[in-house]
Amino acid sequence: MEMDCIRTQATLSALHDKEHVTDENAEAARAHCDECQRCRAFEADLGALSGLPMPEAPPELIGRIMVAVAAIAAERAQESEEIVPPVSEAAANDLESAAPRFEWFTGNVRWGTFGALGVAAVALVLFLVVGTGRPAADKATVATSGGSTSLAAPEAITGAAPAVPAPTPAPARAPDYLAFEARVYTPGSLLSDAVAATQSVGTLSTAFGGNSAPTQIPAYRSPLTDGSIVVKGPDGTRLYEPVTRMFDSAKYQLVAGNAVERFGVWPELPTRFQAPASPDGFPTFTAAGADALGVRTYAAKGVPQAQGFAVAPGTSATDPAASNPNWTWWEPLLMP
Amino acid sequence: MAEHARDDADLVTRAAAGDMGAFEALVRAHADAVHAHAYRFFGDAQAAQDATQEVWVKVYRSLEGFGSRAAFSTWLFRVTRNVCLDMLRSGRRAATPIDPVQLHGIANDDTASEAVGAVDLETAMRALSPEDREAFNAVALFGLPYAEAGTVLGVPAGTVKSRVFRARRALTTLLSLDAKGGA
Repeated sequence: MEMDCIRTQATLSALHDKEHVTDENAEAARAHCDECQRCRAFEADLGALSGLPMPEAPPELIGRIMVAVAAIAAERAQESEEIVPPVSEAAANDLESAAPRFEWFTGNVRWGTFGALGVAAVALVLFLVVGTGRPAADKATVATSGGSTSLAAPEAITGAAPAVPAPTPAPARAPDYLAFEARVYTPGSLLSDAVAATQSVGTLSTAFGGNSAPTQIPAYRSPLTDGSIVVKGPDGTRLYEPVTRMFDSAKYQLVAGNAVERFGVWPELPTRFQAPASPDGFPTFTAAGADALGVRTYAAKGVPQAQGFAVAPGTSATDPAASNPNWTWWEPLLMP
Repeated sequence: MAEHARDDADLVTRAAAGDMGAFEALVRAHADAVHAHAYRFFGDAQAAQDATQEVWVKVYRSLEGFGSRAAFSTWLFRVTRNVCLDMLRSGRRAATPIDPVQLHGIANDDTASEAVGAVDLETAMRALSPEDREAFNAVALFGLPYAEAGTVLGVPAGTVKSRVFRARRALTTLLSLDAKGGA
């Protein structure tokens, strides 16, 4: 090959890549091509070469990438939650600061006042009972309210109790739970739709937050290793994280005995357990220990706690079973 | 090219802000280039897929620090190249050696169909020197200008020009494109 051919073809290659070529070199290359069939063929080959297909990434690889990336995003979200106090904890702090403190005579003016007046009221009642030999319930008694003295029912004289009983609060609505294979999950991060192209692990029945009849929805393997699942819902593809508590250095997941087939339904005990008749779990459960946060755990007869335990209703606002009016049952976390 | 760069910059900004859809769009736009480079580097489909996934994980982790200092495609090529080299150096993956018999058969094959042509192109790619191949990939797959490819490869733009040209001449010869009348 002549030197002019090499120079020409190098110039053609650069022009093909839209690189800057001086007008002089471009003209020289054109002029050479007019006379050289081999260089004209090379120019045509450049187009043919770039037209050849490259090895494409398999479609499932895109899904795998997005799953891996979603896992990172979820980890980051979890890390940021650990830095900022959880909302529920902050709410609990707010509740604590708003609640009356029985700092009698120690700076809480309202309760100090109430306390002093309460003591005075009790003393007055004692005086009436002792002095007259008749029980207070038989008499009009004196209660205090806002510094004034008035006649009131006997139960109002305990000092801290309000004159009018507080209305019974309406039961709290359950979170947006899903149940998959009887285990309870709560909504996590939204994911890319590509994640839903990953491996199905089964189906679950839910109407999500709607009022229509529940339908069977596929659940997919999660990119995370925390036992979560991926579900395509009305608001997109979302991670659903297991509702868990720590016990003996292991995670235990909330198990539902009832059909949690729409948001707002509280999980109940598995049907093999009779709902306890008393707050101490009798006759179904017996107090057996505590979880990592000090919440009392109850054992079922013949079931080692390592295989499952119950928790009584009435746990704190930060507990994973908070507000659930039912006893709850927890079993070791499994990977779907 | 400039339009693509603007699109990429917009997608990078949105992805760095947490828009997973934008990141997915980036992946879909560039996954083939990353995968093709890795495939040509290792000569193995599984290794190429592993490398491609690792590249995008690294890209995602570094998006916030990227800050549009360079064109996204330049950065992506740099990450891709480094991931492949790291996998090779760490011994996790080895490049599959080329079989000379495969090369011998190229010129005699009927490369009329795209499928057959693709296989032959990839076989021919493996016959290139690593330097020529990665320069060619930087330009042909990632669309990098010679100067930017040179920055990533640590050579002057003129060297990139020479390597790309050398790669093209070898490929056209190996694939007998000129013998077919220049398509």
